[in-house]
Amino acid sequence: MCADTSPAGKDVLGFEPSRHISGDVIANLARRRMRWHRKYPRIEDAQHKSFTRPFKRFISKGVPHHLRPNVWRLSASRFAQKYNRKHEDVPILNGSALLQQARSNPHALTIDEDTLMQIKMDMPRTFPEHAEFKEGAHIYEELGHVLRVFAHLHPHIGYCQAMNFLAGVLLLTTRDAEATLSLLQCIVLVYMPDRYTSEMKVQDDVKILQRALNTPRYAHVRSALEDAGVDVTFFAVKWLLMLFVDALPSDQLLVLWDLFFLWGRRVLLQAALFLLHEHVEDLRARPDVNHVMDVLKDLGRTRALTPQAFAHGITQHGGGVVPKLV
Amino acid sequence: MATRKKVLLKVIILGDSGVGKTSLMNQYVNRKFSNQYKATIGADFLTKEVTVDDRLVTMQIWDTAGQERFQSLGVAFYRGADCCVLVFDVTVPRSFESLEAWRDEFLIQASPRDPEHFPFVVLGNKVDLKDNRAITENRAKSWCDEKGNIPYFETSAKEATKVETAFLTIARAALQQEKDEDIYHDFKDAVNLDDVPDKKQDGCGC
Ligand SMILES: Nc1nc2c(ncn2[C@@H]2O[C@H](COP(=O)(O)OP(=O)(O)OP(=O)(O)O)[C@@H](O)[C@H]2O)c(=O)[nH]1
Ligand SMILES: [Mg+2]
Repeated sequence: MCADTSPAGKDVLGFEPSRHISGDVIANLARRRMRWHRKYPRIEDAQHKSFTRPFKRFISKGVPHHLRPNVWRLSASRFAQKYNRKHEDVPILNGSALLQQARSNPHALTIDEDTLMQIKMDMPRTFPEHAEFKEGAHIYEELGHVLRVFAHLHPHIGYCQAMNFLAGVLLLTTRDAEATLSLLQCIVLVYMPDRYTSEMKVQDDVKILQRALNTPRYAHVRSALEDAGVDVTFFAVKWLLMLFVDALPSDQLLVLWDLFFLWGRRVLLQAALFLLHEHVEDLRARPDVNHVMDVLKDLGRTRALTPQAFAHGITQHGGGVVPKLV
Repeated sequence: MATRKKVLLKVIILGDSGVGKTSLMNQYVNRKFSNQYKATIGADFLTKEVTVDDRLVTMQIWDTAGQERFQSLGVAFYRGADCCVLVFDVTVPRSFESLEAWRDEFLIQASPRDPEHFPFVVLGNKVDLKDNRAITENRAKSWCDEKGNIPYFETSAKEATKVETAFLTIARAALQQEKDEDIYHDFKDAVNLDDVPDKKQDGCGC
């Protein structure tokens, strides 16, 4: 059967595992895989009309890793359609020809010097600890191609630091530059508009979080942060721009991305509230700025939740304070 | 005042992407260099306890993202800084030319009480790359002199050159700044400048 394969001793994305995943979580994943297989034997053919309630519910209960490329593609194209009905059309361009060009002749693309330099500088600083992100490795080179083609296609955005991490996780999941390029465009243009330009609208998202934390429901979190002298900006900017890459262990990160592609940016805000709430005891343990930041920078030390539990936790937060933004 | 309160010094490191801010901070705090650091998104910080002229202080060192578009996020990180470190890469002229903009941006966003005398320190980093050197020590020094005698150090985060010395100067400058602020606040409290009845109206529409 199609197991969630990974190199020996590594997690699904090939990173050093940050913690132990208990047997019942693993059993749960296997069960979901079976059920997906039975219910959607030909997921590859599914069009977005298949976004019926059961399909969405299936996604929120955890997507088998090998189906993610397809499920993310379906979620994203549905989301982009909805978005385009409300806003001016965002061009998600097909970059396969350009990717081919980038591979054979890097000078074929028109990209300004600064952008090229920045991409070159960030490639080795993406996942330096990961075997596939060493100079010369296939995925590493593809990262460069994807980022350069993106910059060529969307010169008003070019390249923003953080996009390297997003493209990196997309490449490790889809193992395909074309799929990565199209999902990266969806994230940057549709799901997170103006978050990666000098407008840095991520500040609006941080404000929503701050407002949420000022409600009585989050008084415990707020006081834990205040006692340690930690401002929401310290960690939230990074969480949001990196879609929690680096903060969450791979298994939980991918579940979050499943939901993000389905429901959009608000999932990130809800997840932030949920994670703060979940870790409040840990935060309170020592009202010290270093301690609190250490906890928030690496949320991998806590127990692994099943995808359902994680998704459920997320949906329990942000109601009434996090706008349903599309 | 009988008891000395614990001193926390906040230091901000600014400079173009790739000049070595993260590497410098880690060399100073953890005494090691690694080429495994990731690009900095938003900002990060590390703290270090140091003794400066017989006083034990905690330095909170903020390492910020270098890419220009992140600048608008600065306010949140710059607030309350006691010293600002400007870093350039001695092999990249552009990074040197950016120093002025970084300094101005800091003064605008942090808006220190006395911008004329706010302490800066400049670091010309990567001096180990001798063959690629593009900015001479003299050129860097004269810029620093022009801007009000900013202390200048030639560092290598890779080889730990002058890192310790530079940060000691940074700590001293920050401590001095902190003291000046304290005196100002003590003075303010003493004369009760703020002793104006709170005029907050009820029913404000916020
Ligand atoms: N030879 C040499 N290389 C250095 C030195 N300091 C940093 N580097 C290298 O320069 C590159 C950038 O270093 P970082 O410390 O990540 O740069 P940064 O200023 O934090 O960059 P951003 O996070 O993008 O703003 C890395 O490859 C480092 O290994 C140095 O003193 N000598
Ligand atoms: Mg850095």
